[in-house]
Amino acid sequence: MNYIINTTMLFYALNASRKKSQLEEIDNALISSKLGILFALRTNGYVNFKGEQIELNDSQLIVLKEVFTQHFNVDMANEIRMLAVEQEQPNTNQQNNPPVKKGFFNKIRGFLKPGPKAQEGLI
Amino acid sequence: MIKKVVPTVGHNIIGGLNRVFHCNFYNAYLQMAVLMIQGTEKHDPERLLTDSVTNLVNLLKQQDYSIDDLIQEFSASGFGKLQQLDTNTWITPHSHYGEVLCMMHGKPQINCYFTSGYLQGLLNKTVRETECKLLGAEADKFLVGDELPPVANYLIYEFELETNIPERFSIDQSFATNIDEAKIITALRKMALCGDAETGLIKAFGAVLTNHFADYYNRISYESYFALCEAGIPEEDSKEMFIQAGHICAFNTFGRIMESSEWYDLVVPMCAKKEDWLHGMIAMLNGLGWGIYRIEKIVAEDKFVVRVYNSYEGIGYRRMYPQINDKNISFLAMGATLGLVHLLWKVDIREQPELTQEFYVEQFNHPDNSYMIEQTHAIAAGDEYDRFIVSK
Repeated sequence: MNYIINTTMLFYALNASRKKSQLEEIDNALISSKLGILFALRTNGYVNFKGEQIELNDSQLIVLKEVFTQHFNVDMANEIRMLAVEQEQPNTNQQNNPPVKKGFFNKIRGFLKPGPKAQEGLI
Repeated sequence: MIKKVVPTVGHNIIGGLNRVFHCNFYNAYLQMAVLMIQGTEKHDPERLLTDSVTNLVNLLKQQDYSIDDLIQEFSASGFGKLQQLDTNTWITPHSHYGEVLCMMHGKPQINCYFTSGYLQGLLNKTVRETECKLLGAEADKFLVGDELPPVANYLIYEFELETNIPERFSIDQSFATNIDEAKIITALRKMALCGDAETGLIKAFGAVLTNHFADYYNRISYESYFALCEAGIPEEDSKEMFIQAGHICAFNTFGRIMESSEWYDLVVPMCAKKEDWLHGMIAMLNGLGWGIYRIEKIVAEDKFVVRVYNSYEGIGYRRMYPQINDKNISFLAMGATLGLVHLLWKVDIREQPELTQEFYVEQFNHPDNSYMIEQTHAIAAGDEYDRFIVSK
């Protein structure tokens, strides 16, 4: 089974949980970079968390929960369960294709001035 | 005996190694970034964080540092107080990396890898931390083990510092400013930013500083960056993790310096316009061991171009690795230069905002009105200097 999660809502929930635990807020750009890297290191598959939504399968959801616990110091199991929407027609290519940057996350851009050889590589 | 600092063309050399001032916010972020590769099969970030300093302590010992010298230097540099309990046990009742302020984002864990590595070099034995103040212990505790297997020296290439450095404002644009760089650097050196006698910590400008080993930062940053690239993380994402470290550094260290009473006493009276604050902070930077910054061009609120001669990252890179082609490689300087511009042109540090994490997230690092950075020249890539362009 594959699930879609809206990243805006996910990051909002993360920061809400952190604040509830008296932890500092983290900016969305850093959350998405960190998640992208940590997720790739653990699953051998790069997921672009800078997109509007992510698509994950069951085992990836477990990894996501573990990453939140270990690297963001919050238990996000309930939030993930609430935000993960079952996808009607699983798209097996989705996890290997970074979502198009649009909507709110148009505004998340990196520090680097885009160069002609800017790499958008995949694993 | 505490060794003297020898200022050398932008580097602050102690015992043959360049030292650079950085705050707990940078140290915490950088360690967090390095530890992201924890749990992967091929890389051992804990060992990287530990052994990278062991090597440097070995080099200090070759410069005739005694055990006592190394213990004193640990405190003088702001790393804390080393105390030996018995043959096999050392503690740090106070330590930079054991402070809550030196932990970022993740689940609290044993955090004093640097101290373990320092003790390893000092004792020539394996050392591991068994208790940490971050986990509620009264002191960080270190257990001494067996003979230390050889730790390879990573500073394997000869690379000389550049001595032919242009005077201020002689490159492109000339500036009418009253900022007296020599006066600022002299005042900075007189500040005695040295570990407190009781705690071995340097509390200044509302942060906790360390007079750290430039080569330690270089080693842990570049090895982690290469590990991320090797694991297939997109290059841009990997770089941004480390550039962000410099951006956080600028916000916390530069920002706090620019709100300090020392800054208002010394630098602000020299400032007639907003851009003088840029000149003032660049002058200050030139005393921190980061290299020699020379401003090439300023177009107010639009563009900032700066060269860095003897940038500590560039020099460090060439002493560790062969020359590379990639020019966007001095991550700390990239983030810090961008952050400096953001302090003046994105937010206005002259209004003395409270430099909280909320302010960082909601304004300083908010995507609206952000600038971008490009490194056009890199010592690591064979250029004479690093050069950065910040623009919209």
